[in-house]
Amino acid sequence: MKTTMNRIISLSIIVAIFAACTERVEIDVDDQKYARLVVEAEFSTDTAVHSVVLSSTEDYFSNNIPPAVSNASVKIWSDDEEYILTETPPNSGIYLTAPDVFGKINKTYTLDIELEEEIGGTKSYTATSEIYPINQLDSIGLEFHDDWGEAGFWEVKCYVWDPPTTDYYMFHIYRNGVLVNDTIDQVFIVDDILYNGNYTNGIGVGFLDQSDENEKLFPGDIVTLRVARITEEYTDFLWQLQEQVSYQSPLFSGPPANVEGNISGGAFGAFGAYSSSYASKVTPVVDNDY
Amino acid sequence: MISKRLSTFISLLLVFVMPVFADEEAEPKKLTISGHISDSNTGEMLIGATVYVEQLQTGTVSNLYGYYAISLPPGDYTLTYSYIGYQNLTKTLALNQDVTLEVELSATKQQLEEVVITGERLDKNVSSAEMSVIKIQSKTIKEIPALFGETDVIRAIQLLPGVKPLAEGSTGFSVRGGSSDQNLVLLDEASVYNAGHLLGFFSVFNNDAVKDVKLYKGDIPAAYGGRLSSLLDVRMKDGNMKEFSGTGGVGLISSRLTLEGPIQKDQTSFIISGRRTYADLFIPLFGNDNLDGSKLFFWDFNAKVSHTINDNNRVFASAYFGRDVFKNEFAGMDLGNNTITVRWNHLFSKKLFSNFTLLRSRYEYELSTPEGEANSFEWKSKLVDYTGKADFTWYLNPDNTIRFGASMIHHTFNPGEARGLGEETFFNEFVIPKKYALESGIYVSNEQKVGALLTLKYGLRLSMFNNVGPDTLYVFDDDFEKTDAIGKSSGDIYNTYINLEPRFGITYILNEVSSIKGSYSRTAQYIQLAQNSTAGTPLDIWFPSSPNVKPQISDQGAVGYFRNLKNNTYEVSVEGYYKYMQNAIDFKDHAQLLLNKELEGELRFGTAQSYGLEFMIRKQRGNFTGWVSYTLSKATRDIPEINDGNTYNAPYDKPHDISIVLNYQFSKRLMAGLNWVYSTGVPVTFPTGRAVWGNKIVPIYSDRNDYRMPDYHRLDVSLTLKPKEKPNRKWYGEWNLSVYNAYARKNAWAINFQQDESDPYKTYAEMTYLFSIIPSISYNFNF
Repeated sequence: MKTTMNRIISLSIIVAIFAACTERVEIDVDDQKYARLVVEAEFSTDTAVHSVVLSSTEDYFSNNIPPAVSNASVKIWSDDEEYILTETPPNSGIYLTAPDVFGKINKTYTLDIELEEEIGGTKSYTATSEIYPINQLDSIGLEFHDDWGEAGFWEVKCYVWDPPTTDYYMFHIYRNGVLVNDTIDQVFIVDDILYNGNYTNGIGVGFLDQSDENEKLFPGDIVTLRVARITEEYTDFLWQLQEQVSYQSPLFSGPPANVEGNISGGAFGAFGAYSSSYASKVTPVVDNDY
Repeated sequence: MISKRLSTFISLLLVFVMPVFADEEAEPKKLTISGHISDSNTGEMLIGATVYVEQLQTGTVSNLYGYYAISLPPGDYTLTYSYIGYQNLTKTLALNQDVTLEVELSATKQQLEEVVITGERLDKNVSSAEMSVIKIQSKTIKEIPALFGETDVIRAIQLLPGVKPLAEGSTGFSVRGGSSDQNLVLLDEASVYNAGHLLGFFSVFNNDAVKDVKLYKGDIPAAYGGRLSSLLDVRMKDGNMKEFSGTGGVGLISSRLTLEGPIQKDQTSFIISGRRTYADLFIPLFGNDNLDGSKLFFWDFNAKVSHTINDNNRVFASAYFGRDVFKNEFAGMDLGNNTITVRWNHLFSKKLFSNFTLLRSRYEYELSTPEGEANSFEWKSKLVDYTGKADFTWYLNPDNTIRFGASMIHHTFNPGEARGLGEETFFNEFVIPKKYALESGIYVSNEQKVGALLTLKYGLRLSMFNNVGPDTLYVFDDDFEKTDAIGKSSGDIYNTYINLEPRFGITYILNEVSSIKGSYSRTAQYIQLAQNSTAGTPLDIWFPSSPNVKPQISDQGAVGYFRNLKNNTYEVSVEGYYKYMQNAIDFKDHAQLLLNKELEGELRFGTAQSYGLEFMIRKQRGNFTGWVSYTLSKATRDIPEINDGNTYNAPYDKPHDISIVLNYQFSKRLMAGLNWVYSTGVPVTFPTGRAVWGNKIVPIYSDRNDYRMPDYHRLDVSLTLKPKEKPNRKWYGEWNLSVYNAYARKNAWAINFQQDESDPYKTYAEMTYLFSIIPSISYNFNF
């Protein structure tokens, strides 16, 4: 619901500022008060390499690649499992599991991080997240809208039963196995407040802009949709984050506010565990001469 | 509990009124001169015209319906009637019985001609018992250069000291540091809940239908309550009682037409006024295909009928309808206000004037997507008020004018309901239950002259608010987490708040040209807007006080020095104020205010304070008119859960604010207008640190409102060309050329922090500015 609302609201923004202009300006801001650990961690039911990325915050206009936080000990565990993540390659801040690891439904996973040196006064960090069951996708559909935008849009449609529980979903789209919505602001995240317990009946969950090289589909391209059922806590984190990286205006935006995740010890970021389901479709030929 | 407070209140009322009674007993028999003061050309009642009795050096002013009454001992008197922009009228009479004097004043034809002003009370600035009040006539508003040439009441009041726009171009306003929902905006006494069109860039008031605008920034009369910061009282014209006439205009983005005239001469009149924008006609010019087929417009319609039954009875019925429509192929939005006012003025005696009012106010919006899709849905929200009011003015004697009355509002809040549309839809229905409330008040006040130099105003308002079932009351713990939900049955008055709101004012005339004034007022507010952005959107909803939301209370004290210079040509005032607000509301970080059943859990409560100094010099006569105002102010909030409990700047805190509004009449045909505004940038929160997450640079912020936007300044100019004077000219048309933002200052409307596309680890700040230089032309006419 939130996303649908946002889309309508952004429509109004377009209307409101059609005459507006932008310009780069010099703004002086203070340096950050202190550095914080940044944690980007997901753990899913996919049998795959799972990653935890550790870095640290910097001054806003530092313009550097974020400093990697290396030599930490990182593990993800539940009541009867424990996975140690190793930094690969060294000094990258990227910690990986073995490739045969997968999370199990209805389990609560804990992420523990122990730093070599403290950041922002803290060395140990922890977070937990539960994996809820997910209904498998029936199928996906692809519909071309030649009248949207400059070169048209492919709409990725989703067919699945939503269970009667309160659920939150995150959708990723892959083109020939490569993630298309590869920055967090492009990921579609929804709750089911308005359609709880219903069949989704082809609701659009992704829109591929055919004027964008990274999103352009050719006949025969395989489009894969991954739907993940995420926790409310992780959803809130992602929504907050999406809001803070999106356009802010005096009309529609509340006061800027720091994004709050579920990592203890004052770290920025979150740990999200989730179940997922995949479905694919081959891009058909469209009659339009787009 | 209630009855005990009520009896206390009644005894207080008696204490107020009794000494006045005693006075009357002791004095000789007095006779009353009363009547209405109106415009001789149109029959339009004049609000606030003065009546001055030379022999006694005392006087009175006409009320909101043009009625005046003054009681004097028998004798010979010379009365002078005056009103700004009108020729004075002097009447002499031998008073030996009650008399009714219906007075018609003629508008001065040409401002250019030197008007010989003989009457008194041009020193109203100094002598009036009101402070923190500014009145603007529709004519003055017309002379101010306007955005897109669209004359706007609210844009005019934003140029007054202590009043600030919420954002560039916004018709929302903040008074003395308060939020925009703390302004009671009345159109013919009916609340207007969203006074903006097109996302607030235009106000709902069509200047052609407006007679009089008065803004109370403090010292709000006891007759009004329900908002903390201000009262904006907009009165519609009654319609021409003498002859049929029309007013209109054609501008770049809208056209207007107003027709008025007698239905029965000097007895019944009507006025209808319409306005429609056609901004959507220009959409193809923007060259953006996405906007093709889009609709974007608003319209307004005002209508009023006034009927004089006899000298003692007059009735008025007025209505306003307004609508905004946005539509494109993906979604549509339709919203608007509607008010209906029915009033009956009745004179119980020459001394006792009464007005009975029935009102309905409605604000609603609807969003929808086209039917036939899986995600087709509609979303609606609505707020409806029904109000009954009785107001009495008792012109007891020249020294005491007593006002009393009562009012009751029934509020229905429909915060939001969303549902799927059509058979394809997969949406369920999601309805936030309606809420009901009663808001009532009784008041009494007296304006008492003590000798020639001192005027006291004192009044008391008792306000009461009731939450009425059916409702579901959520219970929240200390962490604002919902712990319980309690159902309330239909008609159950399950929560009551009562507040005693004293109002006090004192005016002391130092000499013929200067006075000092002081005032204190307490106001209580029971309904508020869930608005988290600075300028707000039409989707923001109003919500009532409840067991979880205590009423907001404001105490404001103000003192001022008023002085007129050069034979009352220049009015100078300096006012200082201090305002302290309890139970001030702000919203938690990342608050979800729309379609949220547990909205109350998103609120955070604390205190707010503001203080400031307002300087103004105003010239209302001569070829050269206008004003200069400067405000030095501060507004802060303290909410324990926000900004780690530290004091932070309120969103509308602009320490320095200057407005210069000038008009110069070069000749009978040519007039120029200019205004220049400057204000400190509004407080903002900027990032000081950053984290990279999900391949995006995420800002980490400073303390709340720790930084400021760049300073705002802008110059607007206009030129009005009037037709040649011709006797018996039926059609009078004038051209108006205006330039908004004449030196093309790029005023930041928003500042965003972006990631460079070519170097994703590079960030930069980007400002959005809405308006560069905007020239416009409009043609206005009347006949």
